[in-house]
Amino acid sequence: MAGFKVTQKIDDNMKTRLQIEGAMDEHSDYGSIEAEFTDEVVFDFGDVSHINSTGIKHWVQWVEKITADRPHLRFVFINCPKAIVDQMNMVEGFLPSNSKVQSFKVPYYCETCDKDTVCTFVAGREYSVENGQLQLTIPDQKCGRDDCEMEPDVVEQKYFRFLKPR
Amino acid sequence: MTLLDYYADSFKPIQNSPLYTLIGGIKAFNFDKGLPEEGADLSDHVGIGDHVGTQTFLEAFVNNGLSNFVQTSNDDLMYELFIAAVILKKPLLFLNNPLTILNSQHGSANAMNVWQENFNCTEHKARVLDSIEKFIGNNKGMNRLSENILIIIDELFSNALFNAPVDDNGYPIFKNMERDEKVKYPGNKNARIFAVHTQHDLFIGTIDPWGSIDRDHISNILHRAYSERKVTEDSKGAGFGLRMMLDRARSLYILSQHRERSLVCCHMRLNISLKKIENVPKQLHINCFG
Repeated sequence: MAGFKVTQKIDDNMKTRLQIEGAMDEHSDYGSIEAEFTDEVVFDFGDVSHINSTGIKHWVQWVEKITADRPHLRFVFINCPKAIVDQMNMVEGFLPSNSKVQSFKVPYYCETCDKDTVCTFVAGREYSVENGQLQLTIPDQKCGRDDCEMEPDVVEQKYFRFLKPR
Repeated sequence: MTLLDYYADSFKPIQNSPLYTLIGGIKAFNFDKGLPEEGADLSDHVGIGDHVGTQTFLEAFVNNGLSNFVQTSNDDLMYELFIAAVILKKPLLFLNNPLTILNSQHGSANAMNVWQENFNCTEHKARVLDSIEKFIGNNKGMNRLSENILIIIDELFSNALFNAPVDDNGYPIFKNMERDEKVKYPGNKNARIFAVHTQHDLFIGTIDPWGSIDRDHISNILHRAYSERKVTEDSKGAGFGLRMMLDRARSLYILSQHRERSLVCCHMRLNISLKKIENVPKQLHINCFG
């Protein structure tokens, strides 16, 4: 299992981008992150392989500290796997208040064929907030047979809860 | 009322066996008829109810001494009531034979595929996780659940290593250490972590040599994890490792023989969707004795 790693750079949009890789566990140390951020920071969770409760605690504590030091900092989260989405919904403080989830993963499964896949939901495509209301479109996913299709393999009213305007 | 009062017909096939005596005399508290009164002592009851929320029955664990809860919507209700009865009335029997008893659905044992590793220090964690990943990879029915299984294994390992060890006076040895510190069990003690699956079921658990689990403390931690959703600041752990396990399982069994050993074990169904795993109403059994 890959160890925790954070890579920091300025992306093509001149925003600070932090690529989080490996296991968000007891060894996840955010102390190496330079505090000189642009006004918006993009967190890419696409290569997070594993998460445990101690890793979640480290993240929440680091986010609290950063938002206390930089209250106007905007957070953007991209490529969030299910393990991260579950924490966004379960743990208070995992998603800072001034944040936006730009993209996240949704597992799909067909019980008949025992086939599964993962889809990426993107802000502005599968979901948006209009007039304070969440607009969510759940795309179909075929499983290869005409008489069945995959369904989102999540409890929808729980999984998409973090998208609701706060 | 007793379990026999509720399920007399279901128990008829076993009425000539010792199991009948074991199960039949146990008092039942039915959540479908209302919540427990303040101050009611349910320590010798099994709680039952249809799709009762986890936070609801955990309040009874904290406020009323309830230690076993079974969902009546459970498709193996009689099995789960039998398990509850053994844990409540014969905890040592369960602790001595957990997998035999847990594998006794439908009156017969199913063929088991077993994985287990001993551990006693932080350095063993990487070996344990690598080993369970290989076991998952070799068993097709578990591949889709690999993320859930790894999370459960990780939390069980951490709890057994950091929270379980106590000194001769019963005081925790490693509980207040940061979880990235290197620790090792004193003496020659070892814990065992296991995953056992049959065609339809998976049991994941640890047995540690300390016997230090406190029933009230565990009930409070779980209740807080479900009601507050905050990381805990008053200990080095996060305070919701047990919740992460229970959210991914259908039942959680916690037994502790004082100063001897403890068992923490999750039961998951295989061959079902992640949605069904998350949606299945939860069951919890705790007995700290001796």
